[in-house]
Amino acid sequence: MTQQNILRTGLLRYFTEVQLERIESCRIGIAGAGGLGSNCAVNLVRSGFRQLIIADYDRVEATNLNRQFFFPDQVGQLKVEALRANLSKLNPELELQTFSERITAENARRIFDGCQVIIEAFDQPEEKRMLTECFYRSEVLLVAASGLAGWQNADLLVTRRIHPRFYVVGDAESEVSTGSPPCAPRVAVAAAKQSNLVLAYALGEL
Amino acid sequence: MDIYFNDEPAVVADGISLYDFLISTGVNPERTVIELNDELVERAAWKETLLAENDRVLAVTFVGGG
Repeated sequence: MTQQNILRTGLLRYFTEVQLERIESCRIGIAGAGGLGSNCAVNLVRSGFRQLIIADYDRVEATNLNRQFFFPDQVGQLKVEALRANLSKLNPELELQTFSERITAENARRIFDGCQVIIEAFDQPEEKRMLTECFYRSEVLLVAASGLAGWQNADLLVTRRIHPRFYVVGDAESEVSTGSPPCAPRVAVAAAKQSNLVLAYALGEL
Repeated sequence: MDIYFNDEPAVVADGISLYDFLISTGVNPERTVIELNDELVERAAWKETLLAENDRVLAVTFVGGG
């Protein structure tokens, strides 16, 4: 039995074959492989998603290990390559495309061509805005995040439905700054809420 | 004239541009996406877009961290 089958066999305890096939047929783009993106990716792979496009030009640093799905021996590697290795341990038969170039307004549609869903997982607000403009009111479901720094009550991170194809997760206020760093719990909550929207969408319940 | 900003009633000067209105609200243009009556307005068009009675302006402003 391959590892793919091990994950899939386990998933069939929780999903019907029809449900799992719906999840597996959904192509997801993840813009950024940092705190949000790496945690969304592992949530989605554990949920049965197989078709992922992940883009990030950055390399793993020691300061990422507090919240991102990487390990100390991966410091210095391209995030997309380290993530490929980690996700492949869960499911060695992923259809994973990676891009290690900076995402811009000019290349975003090409990179995420064919995706039904795009997860905005950037760090910088200007990049979040750029990606949102690229896919606003398109056919794509866009799931963004804003406001997740620090350790205030994590229940303040909510899911806002801006319109049927655009959701924003977060508290809309907590910006990363000195004294309000990005920490594992709130970043993971935001990524989990983004991933949950994608799962609900794939199962036809969003 | 009366408009709606983020679903709340607001009173603005007749003929004010979208850009001037947004600056008056304190939003950071570089971090904000604007929808006017359910349509995205590109930032390049904010200055030439004039608001009209009962317009609905929605601003989504992003903060950093991810």
